[in-house]
Amino acid sequence: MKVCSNQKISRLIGWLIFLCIVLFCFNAVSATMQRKESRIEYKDFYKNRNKIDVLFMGSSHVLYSILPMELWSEYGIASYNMGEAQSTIPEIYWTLKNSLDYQKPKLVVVDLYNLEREEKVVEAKYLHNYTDTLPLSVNKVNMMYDLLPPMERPEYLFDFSLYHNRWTELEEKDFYAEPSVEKGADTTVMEIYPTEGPDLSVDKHEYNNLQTLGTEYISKIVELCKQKDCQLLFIYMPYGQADETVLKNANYGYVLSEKKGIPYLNLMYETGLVDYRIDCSDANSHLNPAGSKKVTSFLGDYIVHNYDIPNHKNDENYSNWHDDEKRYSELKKQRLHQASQLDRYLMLLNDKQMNAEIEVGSSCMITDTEKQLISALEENGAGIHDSVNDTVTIQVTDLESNQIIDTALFRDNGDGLYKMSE
Amino acid sequence: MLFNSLGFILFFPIVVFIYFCLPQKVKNYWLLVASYYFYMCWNAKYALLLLASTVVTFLLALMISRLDAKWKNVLVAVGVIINLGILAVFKYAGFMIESLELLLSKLHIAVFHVNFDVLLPVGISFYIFQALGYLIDVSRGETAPEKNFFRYALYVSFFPQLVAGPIERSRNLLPQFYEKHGWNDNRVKEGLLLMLWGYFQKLVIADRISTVVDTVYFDHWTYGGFYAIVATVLFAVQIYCDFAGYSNIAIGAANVMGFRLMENFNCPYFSRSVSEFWRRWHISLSSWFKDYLYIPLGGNRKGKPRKNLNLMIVFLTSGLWHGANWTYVVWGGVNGLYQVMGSVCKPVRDRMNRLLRNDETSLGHKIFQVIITFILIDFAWVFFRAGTIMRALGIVKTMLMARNPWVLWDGSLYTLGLDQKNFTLAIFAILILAVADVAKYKGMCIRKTILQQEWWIRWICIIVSIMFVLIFGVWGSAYSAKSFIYFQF
Repeated sequence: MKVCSNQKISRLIGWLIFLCIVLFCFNAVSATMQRKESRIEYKDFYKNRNKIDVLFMGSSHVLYSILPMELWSEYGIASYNMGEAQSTIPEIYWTLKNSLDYQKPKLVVVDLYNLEREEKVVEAKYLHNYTDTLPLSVNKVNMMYDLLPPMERPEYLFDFSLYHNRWTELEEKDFYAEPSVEKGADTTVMEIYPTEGPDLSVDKHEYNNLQTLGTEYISKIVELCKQKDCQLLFIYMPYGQADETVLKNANYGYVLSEKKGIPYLNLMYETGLVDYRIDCSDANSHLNPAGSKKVTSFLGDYIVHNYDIPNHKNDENYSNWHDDEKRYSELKKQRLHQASQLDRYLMLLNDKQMNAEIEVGSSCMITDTEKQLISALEENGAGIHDSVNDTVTIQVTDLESNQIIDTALFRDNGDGLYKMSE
Repeated sequence: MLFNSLGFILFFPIVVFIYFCLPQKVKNYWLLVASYYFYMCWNAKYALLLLASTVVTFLLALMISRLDAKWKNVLVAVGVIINLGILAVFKYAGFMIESLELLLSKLHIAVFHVNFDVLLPVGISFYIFQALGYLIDVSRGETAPEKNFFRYALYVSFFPQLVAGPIERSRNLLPQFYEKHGWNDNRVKEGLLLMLWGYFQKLVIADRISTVVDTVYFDHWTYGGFYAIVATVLFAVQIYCDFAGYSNIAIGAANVMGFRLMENFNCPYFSRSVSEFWRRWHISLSSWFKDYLYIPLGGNRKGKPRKNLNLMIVFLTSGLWHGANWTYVVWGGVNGLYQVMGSVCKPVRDRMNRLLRNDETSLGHKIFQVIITFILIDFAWVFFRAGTIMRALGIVKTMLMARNPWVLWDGSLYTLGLDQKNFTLAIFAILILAVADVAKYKGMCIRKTILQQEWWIRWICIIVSIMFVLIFGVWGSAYSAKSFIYFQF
């Protein structure tokens, strides 16, 4: 009998070990097949558990426009950008709720873009950018049950069901994905798209009385922040395409602010903050890196003066952030080096850590946008010189080390001014 | 729920776990509840039909066992009429009405169009036949009538084989509900391995190549010639893997719980004649028709002409069983005709072989026979798959007039829904299938061979196989769970 029960136990142990190995292999395969965008964007978020003091929540207007590493460089603020494309307020609520399982921020900044929407989800596929790397939890399950119809939930709770057929697309980053150093932000869109700017004839007191799903979930966000003892700040990002309707929707933020007792920064009314002619990247008025740095610096200054957010620059617990800062600086230099068009190059030069000496040839055909970019750089201290040739020469210096980080020569190739190869 | 759905992946382990935890006397009740739940996931109200067929055949069988021969036949006839009546109403009524309307319109007789739109209850052809088989077995004295209604209801509704077979015989399955089924490591492992093999056939092969078949058969005017030939060959593989895959999952699932279901496929494409093919393909249905239709009609006991007539009746009926469409009848008829012609021409073939001094036992000759049999069977599959007679004839015509062999190597095959990687994977998987079938044909069971190896070799084989199916299987959010082909029957 004893032999029999020993055999049963050893067989049971055998089954359990086998199942564990199967699970292990499955996890490894699942991790390999998974799209890496979420991991690249959020790996640092989970690595820096309970270290983030400010969370930025919103749609793509936050994703592209608020740069945590710039905030760190300038103010020592430890923050993370949780913005995602097409995010609605319900999605923001659930992203925040799940994120608060891993961070205890002192301040949560919520963009009120999409406040007028009645849908819970506009483009479900973008949810994957956040949920793929989010560990399974009660909050994650509740998020899927609230946001999505039953047929769509499995692919978010069990994303291997979606990604297992990626075996035909596997590449190097599927085996080794280096986390992004930008702490959730995305500055890969480096275009310049001249825009008119918002119609500021609409007064701040003119608003559309919104009673929508968006406003309902704002109340939930307020409640959640109260429970978790986080301060809350509403913002509305600069939006060049804003017409009367958009502005009135945004102005409802003032009503919410008063009702809920939450400060509200409508950056569209901060005239002079961004130059819509050179700081936008596309027809939907997303900001390019130049515009983003301006907005980030402004927000950083506002946060430092209105909230008790510590400067962690000398904090030993944040020593890895200094390494990230170096990597971020290298990333910016690399992007600058790779920019082949003059307008993009000039846009990227709009950086507090760089200075430039620009020689403009008198016979160069410079576009209006390029002139505006040069003018903006001049206002920020760049040296602009004239020369008698058909090229534009730029020498870039790192302000901290005082070393030359790039020298570029641009000549017209028929399509515009392009960098000559070295 | 489909076997290749998330629902079943959750359902099955729960059912099995509870099954083994329960005391013996309630195990069958649990399986009955699980089986009805399984069926009701398709369409809850059609469980009433299942119940109706069960009740009718149960009561009739009890009555038959107590009556003399004259009344037995009457009651069997009543049972057959009621059950086939259910089948006729839910499966064939629309088809019969449409056919009648077409016939009358050809005769220029005006008719009032009747719209008969009834959702086909899934598995109806299978469980009706299984119940009828039991009734007839009882009337013949081959099986004792089951006195426990719940046990009989479980026999009819047993979930692994409820919706697409194998069509079990009462004398095989019913006694097993009296057996004690405890956990047996080797049996459970074998059952799970067989299920894994079934999932490989269905998810990796059948569902993958169905894309190519669908593309060509949907538009054979664009994809004619060698496209149609390739698609038809692939359809032969698809329907085999789809149906055999389902059967293997069913048999494996039953095996896990201790039940032994009959084998349904036995390397059918290695058959050397059409009649051999039908002894290896959908064995449960073929044997059902043999025992309950062919033999009662006289079988081969009343001379060759009658035998041939009986064969045609059986195959035409089998065709009709497969679907309410004339294409299935033609398909059945073609298969019947093959066997009739095979029988009629046998003396000629034998004489030819003698004249040409062919060695029928040589490997070359056997391979030749296998190839010819496959071509004949595959030709018939065109009618099975095409959907309409006209489309089937169009596809046959384009295959016979094929003049574009370059599509086989110029990359055109990768434009039919499967890119090069997926096409290559499909071919690789079909090669694995071929090797496995060759091994089985030679009497070697690969599953048993794996299970006899050292534990670490077993584990590597099994884990690699599981990962292979999970990665390369056609399942999940990017696809809708493709129904098994035979579910429409």
